[in-house]
This record gives sequence, C-alpha cells and structure tokens, in this order.
Amino acid sequence: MTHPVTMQHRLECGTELAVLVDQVAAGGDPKDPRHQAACSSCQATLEQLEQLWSVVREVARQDPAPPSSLVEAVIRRIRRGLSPVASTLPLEQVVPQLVHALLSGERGTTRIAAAVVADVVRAAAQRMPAARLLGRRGHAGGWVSGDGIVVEVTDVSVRIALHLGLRYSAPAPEMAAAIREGVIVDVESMTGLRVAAVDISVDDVFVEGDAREPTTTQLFGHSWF
Amino acid sequence: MALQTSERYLIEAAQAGDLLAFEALARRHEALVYRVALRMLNRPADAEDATQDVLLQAWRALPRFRSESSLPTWLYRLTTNRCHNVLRSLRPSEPLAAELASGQTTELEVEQALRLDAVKAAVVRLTPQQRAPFVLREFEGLSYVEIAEVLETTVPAIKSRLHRARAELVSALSECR
Repeated sequence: MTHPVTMQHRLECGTELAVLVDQVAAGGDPKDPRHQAACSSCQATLEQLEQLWSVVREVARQDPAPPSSLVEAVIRRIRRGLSPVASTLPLEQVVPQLVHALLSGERGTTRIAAAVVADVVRAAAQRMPAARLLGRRGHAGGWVSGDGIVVEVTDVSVRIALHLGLRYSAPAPEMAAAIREGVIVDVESMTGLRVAAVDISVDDVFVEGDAREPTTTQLFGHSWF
Repeated sequence: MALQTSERYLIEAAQAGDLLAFEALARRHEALVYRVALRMLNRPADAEDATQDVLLQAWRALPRFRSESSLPTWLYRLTTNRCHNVLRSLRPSEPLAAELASGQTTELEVEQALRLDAVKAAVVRLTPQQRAPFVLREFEGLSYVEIAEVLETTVPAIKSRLHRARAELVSALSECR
C-alpha cells in the first residue's frame, strides 16, 4: 500500500477503505458483493489487507505465558495482607475471628464473636454420635470456621450453615432436624442471639469404626491445577 | 483427563475466604489476565505487575462478585480497568516502547518477528479507548456483546471504536511498510 490509510480514504471506485478493513478483520460478507466481484480495485485492496491482517492473526495465535511464579507471588502478598501487623486495614476486615454479633442494652453493648457461635454449634452437633462435621466447604458470605461452620451475623440474629457426614443407615431428615433443634436451643440460650436459620448439608456417609476424616484432597479433588 | 472442580464451587469457596480455592482459580485464569495486559501495555514487566495487581484485586473484590457475569468476563473487566489506570499514570512524554524481538536466527524469522512487533507496537499506539476493544476482539476473540459487557458499554459503541481502531492499525502498518 502506498498511501497511508485514513478513515475517510476511499478507493477509486468510491468504496470506503475502512469498510473493507472491517470485512477482512471480521471475516464477514461484503456489503456490496456484486460490485466487489467485478471491481479490480476492491479486489487488489482486499488482497493487500488480507496480507496485512494475517500478521494481526499471527499475533493473536501467540500465547504469551506469565512467569510460573506469578500466582505464588500473589498468594504471598495475600498472606502478608492477612497478617494484621503488616496491614493498615481495620482488624475486622483481615481477621475474621473478630466478626461479632452486637447486643445493645441500656447499660452497654455485648459483642459475641462469630467464632464463639461456631463453638456452640460444634458442641451441639457433636452430641449426635451419628453425625460428623465435615471439613471446610465453600459458602458465599459469612464467617467460616476451620471445620466448615458458616456463621452469618446480622446484629442480633445469626444464620448458620454446616456440612455433615452421617453414619450409614441414619435417617438424614430426622438427624438434620434434631441437630438443627439442638443448635437453635444452645445458641439462643447461651448467646442471646436469635437463630434465623440453620442450613444443613449432608455431604458424606461413614460406617461405624471408619476413622477416616475427610481430607482437603477428598473435599476438593486433585484436579485443580 | 481429570475432571475439573466446578468453577462455581471454587468461587464460592474463595468468596468464603478459602485461599486454596482462590489459588486454583488464579492458576486457571492468570494466562488470560497476562495476555490482555501484555497486549495492552506491550512490556512483559508491566504486564506481570498488572497481572499481580489484578489477581490481588480479584481476591479482595471476590466477595462482591455476583455470577450474573462469568468469571472470565469479570477478570477481563478488572484487567482492562487496571491497564487503563497504568496508562493514565504514564506521563505523555514517556510512550510505551515496544519490546524488541530476540532469539530469532534466520533472516526470515527476523523479518516475521519484526512484522509481529510492528503490529504490537501499532496496537500500543491506539488510544486506550480503542485499544481495549481491539485486544478483546482481535486477540481474545470475544464477541461484540461480550466486549460490551466487559467494558460496560453498548454494542454500537464497541463497533464504532473497533471500526476506528482497525482503520488506525491498518494506517500505521501500511505506513511502516
């Protein structure tokens, strides 16, 4: 191409060059196929544009990869950020144990940490010999204990979620109802908070004497990376 | 082939604070972030920094991520925003230099490498407004609708910016021939 191409540039036949560029880039049909089939000027330009655009396509085919250590570096930065010493963020944002429910009274407020609620939930759930708490599972929102109890705090009420394994042959609906009842009674009487809901997910079964604990690998699988 | 843990599951775990789940997501998508950053900025060191910043921001913002858009769409958005910030912070007097090709031996390889470099350099000379749609369309292969979603604008706006970007690019490339 001898002339620099501009948006307004038109070929001898009157066709706007940018329209041909779009045709080549998007791989679309010509706007005016009959004219194009007969016009040598259009055809010659299209050929030049095809050549030029093939280099753009070649760049698109390149797959530059980031250095292999990049994600590790990010994870290190996140971990550093999680340490309250290294962070300028308010503690509540970096140390989830400091998420609290708030009971306001005339003579002062009582703050109850989500972790405390989780402790009460854990004790209530563990009273059922046919149930085991499962390790940490994903959950949107809320504070999550190391063993997967999710506590969502909204001032004086809490919503709780937990994941269980049940003994083989134990009736799941009845077990869940019993655990829910125990959790509600214990949390409400010991903390004074209202329990809005207890969501229970039965995710595993075990047989008596089976000492296996769910591991991170079992929960999450091997195939992430 | 190993079955991939569902994206939604990983997202929910990461949203709840699971760093291991986030790491898995980051490994899945880091290449996408890096590719776009490199094409937007054209310097590997800048692209690496931007990729780190985007992933860090993703971790912080993930609890607010709602699955109306897909995670790649969201990451494309974080990445183009991040690159726009980088470009804004550069003074006009310091244009981005193209990385020169290296490691090619034959004359043909050198020639081809120079042609590729010319394209990359021409992309970096597009305005940031034109550059993002161009990179997402021509290099990442996103549809107009997807690009409009990433850049939070309309399809006609994207089409018009792309039309200009392509013409600019052809103009730049034909000049340097």
